[in-house]
Amino acid sequence: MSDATFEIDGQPTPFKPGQTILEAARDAGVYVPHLCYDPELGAHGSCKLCTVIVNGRTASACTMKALAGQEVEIDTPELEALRRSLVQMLFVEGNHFCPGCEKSGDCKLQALGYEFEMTNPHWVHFFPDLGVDASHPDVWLDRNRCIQCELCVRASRDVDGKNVFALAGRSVESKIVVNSPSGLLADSAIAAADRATEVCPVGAILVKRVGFAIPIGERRFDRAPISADALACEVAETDK
Amino acid sequence: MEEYFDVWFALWRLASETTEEKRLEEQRRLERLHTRIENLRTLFGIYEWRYAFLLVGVAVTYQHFYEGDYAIRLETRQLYVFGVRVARVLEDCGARDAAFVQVSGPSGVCLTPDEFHRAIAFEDVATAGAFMVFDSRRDYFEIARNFAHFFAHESCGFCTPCRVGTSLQRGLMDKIAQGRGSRYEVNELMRLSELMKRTSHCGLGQTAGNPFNDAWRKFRPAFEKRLQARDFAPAIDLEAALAPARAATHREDALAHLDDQP
Repeated sequence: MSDATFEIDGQPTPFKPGQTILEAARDAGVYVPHLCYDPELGAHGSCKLCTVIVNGRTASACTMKALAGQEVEIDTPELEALRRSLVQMLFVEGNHFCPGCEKSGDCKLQALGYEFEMTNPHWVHFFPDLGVDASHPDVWLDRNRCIQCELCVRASRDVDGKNVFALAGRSVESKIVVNSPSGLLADSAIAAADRATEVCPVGAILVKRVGFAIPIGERRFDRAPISADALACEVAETDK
Repeated sequence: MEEYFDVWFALWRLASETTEEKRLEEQRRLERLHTRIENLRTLFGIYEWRYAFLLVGVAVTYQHFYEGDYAIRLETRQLYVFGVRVARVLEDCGARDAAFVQVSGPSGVCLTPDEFHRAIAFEDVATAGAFMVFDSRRDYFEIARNFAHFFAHESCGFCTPCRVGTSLQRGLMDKIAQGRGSRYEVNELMRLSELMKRTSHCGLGQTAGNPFNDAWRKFRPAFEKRLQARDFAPAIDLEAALAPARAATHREDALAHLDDQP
């Protein structure tokens, strides 16, 4: 092992060669907020919540490699404000009504809203007309809640080997589509047990006929804030 | 370099022709010029940027933009070495009363006459080749608003700040254009362009706030004449929104109208 270190908020931190800033920070017990990164599916670099300052310039911690001598700022009020603004953007872009969503309490977007002490949406709501695909017997697709992290796209393609989802269109018109002749989930190969179904960080893809199996107040992010949860779960995940 | 003028010009016209017929005509021209295109590729492949030349084709890059006011002078197409002064280019294309110049497209910079002495070069005013000249009939606020629409349409949608930010920027510029903006919207646009600049994945989002910043810094009166003196004005016209309710209840008395309306 080399004894190379870099600095996280002034603290010397070791890293393994090839590790990203996000991974090295996590191994050192420092949480870098993220939505589109997953330890199994890898980095995507689109949500920008892992934005950190590396040697004075902003960068995505999930894609930038840790290098010896780097000075990285992760937990500062300035970056917290940037991340809060980005989460608020994700909220106004879609239609997110937490009280009516089965994912409430297990939702990473909601948990990050709490993490960044977001008390209002700040920006003007888009109120887009997106619709729900309820055609499949076991799986819902609610586009209103989609944050375009592409985790389902990657999981379905790389883990399930089914290639069910894709992002289509551009700018705010970009949305998740289903690769089936009719464009409906019912005609796709997706199943309730797929990784693509389970990986959704929000309530856009849900398994049907599950309601209040775990009561509100005892759910994942009710038990521990997302910062602590991610450090515990993702280290466990990579150690498997 | 003279012999490459035709190639550049044919490419440029191919991109800007509007009718299918004319496009085909340019396509055929290009095919005839194929060998020279290959030569051009080789040439630019081995040349470093500091030896590269800048073709200044004036204006009309996209249909939904304002046409540059000196497009007619395109016949006098010129090739310049980097380092040329903006004033020299303007003189060559006959733009004697230019009010402002947008260099390097919407992501670039807007220069006013006091900056026309600046040089077009990586070290000063960098450009990818676009050069739009406008005279005093044009209003830079409206051009910046057009650019905001362009960015909102052009964003690929990959990253959060640009996908959502360019649309928010378009909405704020439209609100100001409708006379419903105040200093709050200006501050909001400043925060938004800073956020996009710092967190966007690529140059499109990072520079999408440039036209707004130029409009606010260099064309303050054009901006301020559109702003309301109030702290904040709602995006919707509440009085107008009550009209259907008044019609349904057959009321036109004072109590059916909002107090602060004229």
